[in-house]
Amino acid sequence: MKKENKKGIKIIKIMTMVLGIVLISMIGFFGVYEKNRNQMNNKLKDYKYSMAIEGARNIQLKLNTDTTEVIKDSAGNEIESATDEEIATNGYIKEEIKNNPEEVLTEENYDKVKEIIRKRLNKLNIQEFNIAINYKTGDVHIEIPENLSADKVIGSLNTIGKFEIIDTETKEVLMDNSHIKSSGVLYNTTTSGTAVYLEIEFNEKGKNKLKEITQNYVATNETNTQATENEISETTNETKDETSQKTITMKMDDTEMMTTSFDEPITNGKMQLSVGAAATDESTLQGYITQAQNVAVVLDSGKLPIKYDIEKNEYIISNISEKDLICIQTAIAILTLIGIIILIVKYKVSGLLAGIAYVGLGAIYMILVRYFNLIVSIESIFGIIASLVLNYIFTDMLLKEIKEENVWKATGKTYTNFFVRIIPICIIAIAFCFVNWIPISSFGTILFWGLVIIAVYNAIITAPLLKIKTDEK
Amino acid sequence: MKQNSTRIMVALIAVIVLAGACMIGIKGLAFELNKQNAKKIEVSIGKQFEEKDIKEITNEVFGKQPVIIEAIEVYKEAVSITTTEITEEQKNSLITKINEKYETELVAENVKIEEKAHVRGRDIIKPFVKPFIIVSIIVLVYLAIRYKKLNLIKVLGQSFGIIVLAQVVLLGIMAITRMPIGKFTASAVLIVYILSTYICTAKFEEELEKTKELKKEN
Repeated sequence: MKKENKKGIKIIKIMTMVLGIVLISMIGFFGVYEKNRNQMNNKLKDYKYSMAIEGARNIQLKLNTDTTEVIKDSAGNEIESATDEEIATNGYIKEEIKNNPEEVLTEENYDKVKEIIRKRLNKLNIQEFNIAINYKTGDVHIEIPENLSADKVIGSLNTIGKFEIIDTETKEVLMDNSHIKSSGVLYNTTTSGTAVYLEIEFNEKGKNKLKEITQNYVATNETNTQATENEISETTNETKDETSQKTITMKMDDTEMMTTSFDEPITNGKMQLSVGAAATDESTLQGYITQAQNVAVVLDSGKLPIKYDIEKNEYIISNISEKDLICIQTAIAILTLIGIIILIVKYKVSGLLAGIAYVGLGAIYMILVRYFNLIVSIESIFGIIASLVLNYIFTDMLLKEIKEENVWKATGKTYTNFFVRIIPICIIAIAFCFVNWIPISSFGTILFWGLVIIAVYNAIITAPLLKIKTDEK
Repeated sequence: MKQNSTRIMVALIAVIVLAGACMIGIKGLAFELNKQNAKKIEVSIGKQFEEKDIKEITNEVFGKQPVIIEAIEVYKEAVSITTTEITEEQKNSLITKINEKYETELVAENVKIEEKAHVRGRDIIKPFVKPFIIVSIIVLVYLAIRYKKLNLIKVLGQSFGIIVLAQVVLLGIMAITRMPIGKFTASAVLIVYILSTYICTAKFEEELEKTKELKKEN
């Protein structure tokens, strides 16, 4: 009687665990639905998809074919501006110069453009993109993920990035891109709000040049003593106080950013420029930050040798549809079913219970993917498959050991044998998590969490379930 | 028996590698349509379309040419059709058929055939090179430490050989079967990579156990 009671309790325990796993599986694989405005909505968090699955923002950069009017004097020097009359009287010549002369349209420059765009996208933290160049037409085709930052990025793609500091009066170029080492964005919070600064750090050559400029272009009070002759031919000395200020103009792509002079020499080779006024609301601040970041990225990545216009900017939905994803899920489900049947044939009831636990692991894995914001990409789908295969190997090893030893001992032995063999895979998974490239990082993160689930789930679900079953004997 | 199977395996790998190398030398690697030079047409239908309807039209117009159909923007009222080659005649026929299907009045002259540039193989590989080298070094160091009892040079040599050979075999298979480089290539490379490291550890664990047993026996 007592024995039957004990057996009954064990069956109840097994049934409870199995029902729990079934419930989790239903939630994990099918979701929790709620009626909302005559529509059934899944209450579970949506999966986050990568560019290959969700679609991409397609940007087409076309060669600029415009010309710029240039006025030159008889010696060939450029004149900033002149009226038609001045041109006629002074013998100036008007010339139409192509923005992209034939000599810059070389394969070498196209490659340079590609490299600079790649650098800019990397610096803007775009973790997945494709760049293709048509070497015949010079057109550039870029694909970036469609999200909130897509629009902010686009502006930086065709900015030439020509940086100049010139003497405001003489127009002499004092510094240019070759003097820049790096640039970044700084913040300073005061009582009036948060101010955003663009910091430009110059290289050794630039550092010395900046020091020299900031020593020369300072606001100074000059005392001029001039000898003046008065009406009655008496020579007197007159003293005048004059403030003469030599200024520099900072230009970006030939557009003036600011005109300024310096209060004191800059010796550390770093220049901070304020971007906008101190902001108190988040959207304004974010706007300034984006503005500063874009300039910093452009300065940091070098000058585009060719001028481009944005020809197209559209979102193209991926040709991998939800149907395709369901097909993949179905294929995985069928393979899992075959695997479970093999386990049942090999290990009978233990195989069945391990198989049920295996399905539960898959369901929890899917819930974790949703709530941990793991990116589902084609690579990460293969990461999921790899984790499921590894769990199958683990389950098989565990069931084999259980045949010979008690469950806890067998579990310990299986853990040791299994994890010793997959340490390199753990290393790969962890290292790939830190790679700034979605096809690799999504694979790494999903595989990492898959391994964590294998370690935790089997200890708290699979092994106890098999323990209850073996105790039944 | 084991020696025989090893010989067969070595011969098979050699054949795959050689045949793959020949194929790459003669024909190069195959690329997916969206990674190779192609022609593209964008048609603004102005009505939501079904992919299968467009597929039917493109099958009629382009015959056996591979075609990629993608919707433009979330409303799916414009379609992008990419294929290897589009002639003026095909373009006109395509627009006529779309007009018939969707009762639109699109003018073929207003639709431009665009050239789609190919993505260079080295640009596809580039983001993977550094992470793979770094991770491989870490894995090799781990294997060298863990299996130092099995002769350090042998462990390092065999591990490196297995990891590299696995990728070379994959490349060979891709070249022989003309499997295009595209969406699934990175996944295949990653799976083969972790599989090769698993093979290394499984092999060395077995050898380690054998040496332990031998020591016990002695």
